[in-house]
Amino acid sequence: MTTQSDSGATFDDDVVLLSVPADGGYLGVLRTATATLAARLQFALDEIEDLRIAVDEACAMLLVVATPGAELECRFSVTDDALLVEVEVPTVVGARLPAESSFAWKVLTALTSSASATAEGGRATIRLITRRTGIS
Amino acid sequence: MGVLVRITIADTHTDGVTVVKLAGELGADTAAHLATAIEEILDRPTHRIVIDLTLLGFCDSIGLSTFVDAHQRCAANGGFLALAAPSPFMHKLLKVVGLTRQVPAYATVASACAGTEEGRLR
Repeated sequence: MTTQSDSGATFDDDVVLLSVPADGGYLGVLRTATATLAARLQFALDEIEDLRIAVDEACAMLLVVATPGAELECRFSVTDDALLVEVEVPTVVGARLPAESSFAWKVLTALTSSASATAEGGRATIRLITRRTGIS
Repeated sequence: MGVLVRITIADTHTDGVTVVKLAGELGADTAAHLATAIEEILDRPTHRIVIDLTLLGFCDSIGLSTFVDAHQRCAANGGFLALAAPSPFMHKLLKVVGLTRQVPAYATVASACAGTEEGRLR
């Protein structure tokens, strides 16, 4: 039986969890992991590039509000036709993510099928979904 | 962690343009290196800068913001800054976010140095 989680991914999908120090020096690692997973899902080359930027944007936004020494947690869920990426960090109380009118959000939403963010209870999360086009 | 972007600065003799060649990845982790390099060029008497994107494999909003900021500072000093030779991926990104309307972009380094309409990307 397949169980639906709150992320929209199902438990028998491929899920990859990656945790890195919330430090800009590790963004390159996440970009590379993203590209590899997207390639595994047979995304087109330009879609892979879009995803690399989107994940980088989301993580860069979270680095600004992360507590010192925090871990940045990334959860990649691979479904039949999409890649769901959730990135999360612990934040200082009252931390706010950039407004949806910010340049970073414009780039993020231009490059993904959907993007949303929450910041509450001392944690900030950004959730991205990219659907694969041209499925063969 | 190693540095993921390499910045090479070369002065052209014919046009008096400083060409900044980027290789690697430009983002939150590396954009400060470019900002520092631009800062040093802005200390010079002329502010004519062409950024060669041929070997740039990645750029995010922080990298793009560095271009916009540098362009505005050059323009304020009576100079210019142009982007040159973006890969198809970079060109698409510049178009998607509307950056080619703010910072001039050209198909080649030579056309960017000339600064005319020839080779201008929209």
